[in-house]
Amino acid sequence: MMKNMTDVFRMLRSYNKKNYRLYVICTFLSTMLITAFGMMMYAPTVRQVLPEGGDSRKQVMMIFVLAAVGCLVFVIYGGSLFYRMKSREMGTLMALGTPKKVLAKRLLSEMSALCLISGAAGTMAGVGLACAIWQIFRLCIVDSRQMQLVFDYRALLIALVFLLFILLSAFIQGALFLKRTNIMEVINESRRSEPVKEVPSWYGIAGVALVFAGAVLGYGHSGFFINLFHWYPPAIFNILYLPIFVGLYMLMLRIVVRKGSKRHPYKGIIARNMMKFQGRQTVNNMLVLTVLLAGAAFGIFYIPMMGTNLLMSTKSWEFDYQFRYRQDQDILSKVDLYGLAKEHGVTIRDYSEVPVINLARDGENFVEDDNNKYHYEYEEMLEEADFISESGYEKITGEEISIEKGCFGVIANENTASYIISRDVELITNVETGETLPVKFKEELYHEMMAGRYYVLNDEDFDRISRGLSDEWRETLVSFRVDKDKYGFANALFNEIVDHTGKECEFPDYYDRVVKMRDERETGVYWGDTKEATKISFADRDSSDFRLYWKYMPQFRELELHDFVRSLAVFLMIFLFIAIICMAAAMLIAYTRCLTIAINSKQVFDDLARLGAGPRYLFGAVREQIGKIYLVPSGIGFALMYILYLMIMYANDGSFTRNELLGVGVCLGVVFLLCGIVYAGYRYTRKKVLEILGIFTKTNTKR
Amino acid sequence: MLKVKDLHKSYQVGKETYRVLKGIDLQVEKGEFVAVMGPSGSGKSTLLNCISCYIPFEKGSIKLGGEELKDLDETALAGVRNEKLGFVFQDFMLLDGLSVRENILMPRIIKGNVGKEGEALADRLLEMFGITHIEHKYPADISGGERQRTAVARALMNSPYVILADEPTGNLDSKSSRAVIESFIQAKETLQATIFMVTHDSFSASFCDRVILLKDGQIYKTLVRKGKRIEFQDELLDEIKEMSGEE
Ligand SMILES: Nc1ncnc2c1ncn2[C@@H]1O[C@H](COP(=O)(O)OP(=O)(O)OP(=O)(O)O)[C@@H](O)[C@H]1O
Ligand SMILES: [Mg+2]
Repeated sequence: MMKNMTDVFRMLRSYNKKNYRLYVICTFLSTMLITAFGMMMYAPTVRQVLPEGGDSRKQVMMIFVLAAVGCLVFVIYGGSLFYRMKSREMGTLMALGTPKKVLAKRLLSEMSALCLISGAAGTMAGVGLACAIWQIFRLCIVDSRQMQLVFDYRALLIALVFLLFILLSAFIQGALFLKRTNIMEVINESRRSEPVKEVPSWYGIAGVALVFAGAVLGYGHSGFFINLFHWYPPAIFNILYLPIFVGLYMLMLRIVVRKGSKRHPYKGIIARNMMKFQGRQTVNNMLVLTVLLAGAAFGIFYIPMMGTNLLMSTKSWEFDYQFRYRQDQDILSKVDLYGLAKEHGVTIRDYSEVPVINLARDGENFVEDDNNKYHYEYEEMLEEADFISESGYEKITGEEISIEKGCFGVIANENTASYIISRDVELITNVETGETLPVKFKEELYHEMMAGRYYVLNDEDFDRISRGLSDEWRETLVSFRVDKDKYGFANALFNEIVDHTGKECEFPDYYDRVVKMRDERETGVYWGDTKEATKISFADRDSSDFRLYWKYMPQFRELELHDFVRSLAVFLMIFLFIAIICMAAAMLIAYTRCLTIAINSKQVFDDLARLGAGPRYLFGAVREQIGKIYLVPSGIGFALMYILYLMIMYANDGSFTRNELLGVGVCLGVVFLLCGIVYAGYRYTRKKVLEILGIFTKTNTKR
Repeated sequence: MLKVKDLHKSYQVGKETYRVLKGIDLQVEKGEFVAVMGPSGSGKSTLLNCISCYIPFEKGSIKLGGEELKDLDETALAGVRNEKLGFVFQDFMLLDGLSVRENILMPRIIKGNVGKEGEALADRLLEMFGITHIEHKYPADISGGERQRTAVARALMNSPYVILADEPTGNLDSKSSRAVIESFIQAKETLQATIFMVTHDSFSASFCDRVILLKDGQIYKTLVRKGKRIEFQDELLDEIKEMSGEE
């Protein structure tokens, strides 16, 4: 026999199992996803592939924050649903004179137990999920020593922080719930709704306009300020993106509460009015859904875009191997090289060795003033530039060219914009002798592998200007092809080169000796020597940083492909994972939202059925509501991301390259795939909702 | 026992303010059985909710046994609700997860003293309302009238000073209605309970000592029963007719 409040609460719990289950599932899934994500982020492989401060890391973090916020919103929503469903019971207990202290104690201890248990389970499941996904990737895609998942306590810290957030929000919600003194309001809470009032028709158009304005302002404002005012806008200006969200909200509000058409004013009136009645909540949910689905699309798009770009560019390389070294370095000789090739059973052909010289070129120097402004100043010796001779070029390519005296050519491909290699050079200087040579841009030479790296001079000019230059400013460029290429050979050669390169060449690509001279003369310090500059180290020769940034990094197709598969695997995993998290969170939110709608409107549907509405009619009303919740956010989210990607691709260089077009095409396929998933989710939800409402089942009017 | 003075209450819906109670003054003596009648929307439920402090009101004073309810803190108020007030809601407000018997015992459980005495009282109430056979059923599985009787039994559980009842007979057939009214009368006679009941039903109201007619948030008239029940019922019917006829 039941004797005290503990018994009462136990019985109420078992009666309301469904409520508790929903909340437990919410917290469990969210902590699981967040933990798994955290594990992923702290894996050494991922940290290596996404270098600190790099764009990719930032983007991943941004999406992670979005996903975390999405999960949090989901949990908060679950919590509010929980309290809402509990409100009648709690209100009754209050009305019967249960002291609030008792209720608060019980409720909060229940909540903390729920959160802690499901959170702990979620964390463990998250670790398991991360390991499982990781293992699948290792099995299916690539298995290298670097692909290891190390358990990092910081990932658990993320989970813990997230759990604390959940607890906090549960407590705050609970406190707000119990704080109210109007008991009738508590009792009637579950029946309360927040109908949306009529929304004027211009909301839709204004919403779209705001989204575009936000996109243009947010994306374009920095370029605008830099170009027109020579001023760097600070990060706070990113709030210019804000109109996007306001616009989305308005647009969705309009879609949700749209009036019927003039001709069929009563068509779909049930669905419309029911949506309207749940208005604000639904629109809020839909906004979160849109953001999450856009995040998923972002994650997924990243893979084909990057993949096609990288794969296509190594495919078009003219040589299997090309590397350069400074002539003061003791790099292996041609004989050693052939020996190494023989060891690996690789045959070398089309071998060439061409001299390169490092000179200073002139140009406009970018000078930063105070308060983020800047201007340009002309410098005779602006920065280092690498030159080969006309005959050197011919030797490498077998192509005949002619560069007149006093002119220069630029090696480029279709991606080489002018900021990569300048065409506006007018004077070049031999840094050691001070000898100068005025030059004029003549033509672009097309070569994939050397694109953006070298200037080409007339043979006579080349000889004259390089006179008196020491080995420190001279390089040798080696190119060759092989038969039956092997990763083993490429890797051995790479290690050989790194092993024989001295400390004086252990610096990244942007380390510039000409700039160093000037800076040291003017201010005493060169930025590249300070702690702020990224350093690379021979010890980390397998890291992505080293491979991306080492100044003398060789270009070996086999090595690149191998690296590429490795980094791509990691990227694939990270972004796929992001996509999975965002999609999962989105689907869960949509699903719970639809179920709430179903539960809330069960009475209406029963009444309609009693009034004689056939299952077809009721089905139509369900479809219209559920459909909207899935269709609108996915349509807007995916379209928005797709357009954003197109914009980024185009803005990069003012056109679409072949690789970009291919990537964009693949992305379109991905969109279809995502739509398929959303559709599957929609069908499943619809089935469940129809079950709840008893439509198309035999017990049609069963209450 | 219960003293209401200059009670004002309005609801805020959006920007509009609806004044529902416009200065109610009334007094109910200990052991008195008083009914409130009035057209739908006249503020009867609102009045009851204010008296039990379920909803806040702007102005006025409510004294229960000489104690000003407005001055009590939440904990004290909870105690008052539990021990001194019994409430029957228009829509029962039973806990769906508990059986009929457990629902009836609820006030005792909250107080923390079920005991043999509590169980015995529950048995008596169950029997009194003819719901002993369903004592282990759950609210979802019983009829509206049975639910109502359960709710009334619950209200009587802690032998309250005042029972506030919102249409306790609204969902009942005449037999059950009578049982409820008789239980009220019994509570009044044996426990000296004070009963303040809202009803539409002149039959139920005719059992009362006094009937307050409420119209547009103000007391329209108070009728005191002097003679036989049947005569009082006729008087009530006439007055109600007159009150609505004026419009
Ligand atoms: N929570 C609320 N918010 C706004 N207005 C309300 C609220 N509750 C009641 N009202 C309004 O206050 C007025 C009085 O309501 P009340 O429930 O007190 O009427 P009643 O006399 O009990 O009617 P009935 O006999 O139909 O139960 C009504 O006009 C009603 O619309
Ligand atoms: Mg009422």
